[in-house]
Amino acid sequence: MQGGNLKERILEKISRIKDPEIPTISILDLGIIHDIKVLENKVIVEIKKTYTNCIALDLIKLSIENDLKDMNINDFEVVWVYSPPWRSSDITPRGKIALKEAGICPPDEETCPYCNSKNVVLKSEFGPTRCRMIYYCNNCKNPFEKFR
Amino acid sequence: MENLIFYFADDDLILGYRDCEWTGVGPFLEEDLALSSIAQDEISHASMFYEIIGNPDDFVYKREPKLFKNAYITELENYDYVFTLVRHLFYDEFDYIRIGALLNSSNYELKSRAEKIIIEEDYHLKHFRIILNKLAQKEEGKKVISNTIDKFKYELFSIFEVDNEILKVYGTDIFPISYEEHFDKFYERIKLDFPFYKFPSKDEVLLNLSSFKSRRGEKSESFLKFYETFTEVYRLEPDARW
Repeated sequence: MQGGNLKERILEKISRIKDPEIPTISILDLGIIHDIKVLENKVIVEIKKTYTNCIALDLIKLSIENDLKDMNINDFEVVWVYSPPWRSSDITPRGKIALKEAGICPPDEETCPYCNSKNVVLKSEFGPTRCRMIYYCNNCKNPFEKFR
Repeated sequence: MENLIFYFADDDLILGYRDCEWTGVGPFLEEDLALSSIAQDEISHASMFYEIIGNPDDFVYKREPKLFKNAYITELENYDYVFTLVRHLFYDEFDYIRIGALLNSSNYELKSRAEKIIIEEDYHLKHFRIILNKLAQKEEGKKVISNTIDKFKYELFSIFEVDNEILKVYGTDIFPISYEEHFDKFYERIKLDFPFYKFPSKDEVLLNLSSFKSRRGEKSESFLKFYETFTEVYRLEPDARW
């Protein structure tokens, strides 16, 4: 298979896949695409899990597989890579903006996504999904979620 | 290898399933969310181990009860919430050291998974230590926790039951920690978690271990009933695709 060029094309295509639960952020900006290996007769896409029990992960894997089929690539594997593990610091600066657009505070901030106040308090370390915690804004009196 | 996988995964699976029974009926909303999330994590960790040797569903739904290598304490009913908390903290302290040892494993499949799992186990430990510590702030809480430990004084340590095959893997390059070191680290830790409780001595605990046989294939009534439940849907239509 064509080397460099194909790799870029695959990356460009799968970068458009969004997180099914946070539709403003792409899987590229989420930082879960580990590597794309174009071998002689096979393509291997290596991806990472944000949190091991995240139910969106299988759907993301399926979307990547469908994209590869769309590109007429027949011999491929989409595999999970556990080392080095995904960290929330793998989220790109563009990804952090995308999280805010979805009303979710990025992992390295403690700011209300609605009114930008820093007068916020952690309510629960565990939230509606594994990657989110529940906060409360004392300023605008809104509960909000923060990416873990 | 298969035995070692089951040693790690089966505890996670069975305890995760037991924790799930609290979903929707936890003592308060945040705690319900926490325990349900942790349960999901545990089951996912089990799945990550099974996938090293095959299809996880095959190991969960198609194995005979006696082939499950889980510890006796993980298969017991939930009784009450304090028991659930105490049991989980015991298990997490035990598992954290065990997963920690895999970080230095010569086997890449185990080592790489351990790197991922340990991050989540950190959250679990933190959660159970905090909530039990809070409960123990008052005399009444201390009493309830102490009564629970009293009732399951030796059962809680049944996580340390091993069969000969697992014992042989302890201390090898694949699982580089000795059984003795695993126990000692755990025992020190658990005494810090419950400073107000006087645990039986190490010798007493080890002596009583032989009465627990769940890891060696002798399952309790609790397990068999539970097994019926979690394989019920599968058995309705074994060939169904989900």
